[in-house]
Amino acid sequence: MTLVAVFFMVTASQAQTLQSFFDKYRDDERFEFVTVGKGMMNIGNMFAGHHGKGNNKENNNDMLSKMKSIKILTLNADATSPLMKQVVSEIDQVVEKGNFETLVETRDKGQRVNIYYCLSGKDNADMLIVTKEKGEFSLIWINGKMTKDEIMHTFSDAGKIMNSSGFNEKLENIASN
Amino acid sequence: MEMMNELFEKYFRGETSLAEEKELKQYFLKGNVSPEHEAYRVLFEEFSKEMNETTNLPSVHAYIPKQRSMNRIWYQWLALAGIAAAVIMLLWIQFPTTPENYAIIGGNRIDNTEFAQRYTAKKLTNVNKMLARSMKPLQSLKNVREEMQPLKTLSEVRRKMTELQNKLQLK
Repeated sequence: MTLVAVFFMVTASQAQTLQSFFDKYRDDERFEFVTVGKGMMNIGNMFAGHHGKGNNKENNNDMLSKMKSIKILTLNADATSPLMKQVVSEIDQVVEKGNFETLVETRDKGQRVNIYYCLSGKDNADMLIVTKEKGEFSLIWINGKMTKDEIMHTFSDAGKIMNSSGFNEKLENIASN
Repeated sequence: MEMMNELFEKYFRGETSLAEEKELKQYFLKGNVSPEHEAYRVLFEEFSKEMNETTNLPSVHAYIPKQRSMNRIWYQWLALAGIAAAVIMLLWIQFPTTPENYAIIGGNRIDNTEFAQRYTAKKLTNVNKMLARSMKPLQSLKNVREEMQPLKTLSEVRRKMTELQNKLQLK
């Protein structure tokens, strides 16, 4: 009984650390924050609709159906700015203290992608994608019932997804409206 | 008389038994009291009166708080916990959570599900593209290995021809 209580306290404190980080910066004018909850079928179609075929399409939809929420925090600032350094340092600490496991770490011409995975319950996991490129730092926090294998499978077909023409323009139009 | 004197001395030393005290009381009740013992009559009569007195004061137990049994305490706690859980459940159901799909850009909240979803999709695509770029060298290695496959076949053919030639020479 005590062990169960301790387990829940530990897992709760982990989620809270990442949660508190997002809570701290989501209303900050210098950041962009987007959250998407359940019912992300539109994204599912975007993932697999244009280029995904057969099993690949099914796998992507299956993966998306298991996601409970996606939260994105983006900072557009110079890489040498104090704010950027502070944010990078803070998220490194969150990852370290939260017992996140590194799944992917790539560095290419000033671009950095780190994917971390952490079990946050019996059937629940947190995936944190940290991307850093010229003047942009993004954190994508995905929560859901997903295994490491499913995550790796989703990103293994990198580059095949979402390349439809005019998509970015459409997004900018919505933002301006 | 001598015996009564001894009994009185014993009484005041606090060494008399209940039977002896009863005997002393009887001695005063009978009325045949010697003059030297008259001084104690008032005392013994007072004791007798006090013994017969009744009081209307409430019992001592009325002042002692009743101790609740452990079972009762547990039941009360369980009931309270149940009520608290029910209230939490009701609040959970009654108050809908804030819309899940929204964005905060430049401090302004945008309650546009389509925008939030497209923004998310764009970010995920970007991650895919970045990963694809990073994995390109690995893909190139795979391509080189596939290109080398015919050479491997050629060397195999050459080895077989050499073996055949050797066999023919032996004959």
